[in-house]
Amino acid sequence: MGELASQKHVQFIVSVEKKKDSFESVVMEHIRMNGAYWGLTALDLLGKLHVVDVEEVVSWVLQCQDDSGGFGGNIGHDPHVLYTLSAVQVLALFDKLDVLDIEKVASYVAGLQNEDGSFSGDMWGEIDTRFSYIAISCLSLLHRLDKINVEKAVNYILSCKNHDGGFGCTPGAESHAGQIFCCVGALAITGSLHHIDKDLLGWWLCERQDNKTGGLNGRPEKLPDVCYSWWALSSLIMIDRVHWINKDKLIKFILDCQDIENGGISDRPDDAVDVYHTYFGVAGLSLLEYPGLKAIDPAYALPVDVVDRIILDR
Amino acid sequence: MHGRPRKAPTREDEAGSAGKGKKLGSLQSQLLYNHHKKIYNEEALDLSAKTLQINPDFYTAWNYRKLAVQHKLAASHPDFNSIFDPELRLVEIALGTNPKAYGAWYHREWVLRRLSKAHSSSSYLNDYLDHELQLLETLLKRDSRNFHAWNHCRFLAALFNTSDHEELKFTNEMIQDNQDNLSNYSVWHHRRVLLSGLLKKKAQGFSSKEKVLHDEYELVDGAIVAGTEDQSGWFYHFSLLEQTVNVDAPFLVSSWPSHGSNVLLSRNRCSDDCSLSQFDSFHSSSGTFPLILYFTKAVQGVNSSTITIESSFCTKNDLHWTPLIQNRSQFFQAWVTHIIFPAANPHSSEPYLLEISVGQSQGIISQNGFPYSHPTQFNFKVHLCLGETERGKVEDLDGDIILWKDENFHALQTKSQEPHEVVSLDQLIINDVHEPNTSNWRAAIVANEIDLFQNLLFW
Repeated sequence: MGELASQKHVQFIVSVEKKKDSFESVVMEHIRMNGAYWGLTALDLLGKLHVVDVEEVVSWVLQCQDDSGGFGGNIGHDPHVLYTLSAVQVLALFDKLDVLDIEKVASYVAGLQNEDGSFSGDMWGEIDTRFSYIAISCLSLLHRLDKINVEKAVNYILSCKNHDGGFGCTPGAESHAGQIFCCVGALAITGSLHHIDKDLLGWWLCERQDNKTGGLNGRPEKLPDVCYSWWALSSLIMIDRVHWINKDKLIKFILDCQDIENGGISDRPDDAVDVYHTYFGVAGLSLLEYPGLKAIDPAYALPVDVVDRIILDR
Repeated sequence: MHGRPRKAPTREDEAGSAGKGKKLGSLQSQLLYNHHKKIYNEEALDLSAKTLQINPDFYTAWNYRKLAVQHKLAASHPDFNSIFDPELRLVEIALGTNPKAYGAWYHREWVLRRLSKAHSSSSYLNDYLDHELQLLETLLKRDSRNFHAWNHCRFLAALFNTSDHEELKFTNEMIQDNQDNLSNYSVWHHRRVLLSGLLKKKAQGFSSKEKVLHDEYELVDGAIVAGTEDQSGWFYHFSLLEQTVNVDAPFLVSSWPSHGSNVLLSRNRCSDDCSLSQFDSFHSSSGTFPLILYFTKAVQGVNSSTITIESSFCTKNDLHWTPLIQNRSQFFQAWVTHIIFPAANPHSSEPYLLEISVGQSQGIISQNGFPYSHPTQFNFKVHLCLGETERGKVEDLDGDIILWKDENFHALQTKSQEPHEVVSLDQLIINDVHEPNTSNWRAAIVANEIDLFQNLLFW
């Protein structure tokens, strides 16, 4: 088994930031805030966050804020909770949450809760349990969970629980490992994990591991993909069933997806690398306690020391 | 970048990518300019369409188009077709580029909601529904696991009020038309959701759970035999087994005091001679003893009208029931009430019989909406510990003490059961009054499935 090419991955993450003109960069311009969160969190897990100019990042993040208090994916783009959480997470990494008007950001997020407890992603009203997780995680990081009706939020998430123990985007929607992460994470943050049938969900999640490659998929009969080393694995940890998968095989799968020469991690071996899969590969290895990486919190998807600093105030 | 092969770009690749990047970059910045300046003329709208055609995930462009729709609807005598139809067409083009673009799918839902409100004529709407179904068919042919498409299917059913029967037929066709769909988890999931809705509503043709489950086993057993390595069939099979052994309606499983027990009541801790082995002893300085009911599911509606108590000393039926353990929910598995000791009668040491009837009148209901439909009776006797008042006053106890012993807890044996049979929990559950002649079908189905899978093992 190869080793984690940490130095190459750091170089890859930093280089992506500089290549702004390629079609691949332009087509992702609108989710640059997510990209910043993926890249910077990966750098932090690799112990290399100091290579970044903090002031430059913080000033750019603040330029993405809208008058409503929410953040867009880039300067001049509309606000949405997807980018608001990433902005809060990026500032949290640098211990810079104090630059925010916290009340304003929290009001934007809390204002998107609907009567049934669900959350819209923005003013246009799309509803999805991803947004429930985002709102709960974001407000918890800002110490403002009291601004929403947590009980209703939890009940809406539970209404999206399926017979297989998993969760979908909306009531009746199919279970999906990414969606399960969101729902389990939101239940973990609100202290509501007792609503989950851990054995049933744990069974479904551990069946995501592909016998041959060791990689995890997101749904039955789908191909394994490095990003589920985050979505499915963190969920298994939160419900205390991670011993139901073969960790060594999964580590091997993630390492097999590295581009050893140029850095970066891809979805599957020999595919093109990107920052998204590089982050989720490194985060998965961190969950698997791979040596040399900082520990990551499975619910907040931030390094444990960052979460401790904010939530436990230490 | 999902599923794109890793290869070092050639110089031509890089030049091509930069050229395409420059073109898209200029479209995107022009669009943001138009958005901020609220410019909704034809030229600006064309530009947003071009942008979304290349980059369907550029979410601000969809927001811009929604603002433009609102702008046009605000005009006097808006022409709905010319407002909505281009939006639907654009979404189709965008989904051609990326069939999983969240922004495109949501734009379609947003437009369809407004369209269905604007057009009151249902025949007109039917044309739209037909078109949506055609689109779904095309997209599911491209990728039968596209969960956006399946979610859209459920969205359409709710918006156009289509019948669950129709949709079930759709999953039948999916499964029968294409052998690959035997291992399509999305189809089985959709089917599971539809069926549980139909069964819950007891819709026409779905009033017999036995028949429905029987047919489903037949269908899924075939799928499993055809592809034993596929997970989809196995998970569906498991969900059928769960529905077979699980009864929706709540039942009483246990109580304290249990059926047929003798309880010795005293106001103070009794000396040993009172604690005879055939008695459950209960001491309470307050002069009350608890009656605890335990149900298979969390229920509400446990009160003095749904639970009646007959005895010679406890005639007033105004007992106050509370959950044994409080939590944030309104439904509980264990309920308790407190009954006042009978008055001491120095002339008689006869026990007092208490007859408890559970669910004779309607009102107990489980969290998922199923009523307690299984009236149950049980009884027990209480004895007063005589002469106790003189003794043991020194033991001033703070609270009530119950001697909780394992042997005090029994599975409830109701009068409707065979008296000499040991009643296990599952037998209690099987006995469903709504299905009087089928008490054994659940066991038969499970036996049948065991046979089938044993055979599969020896193949």
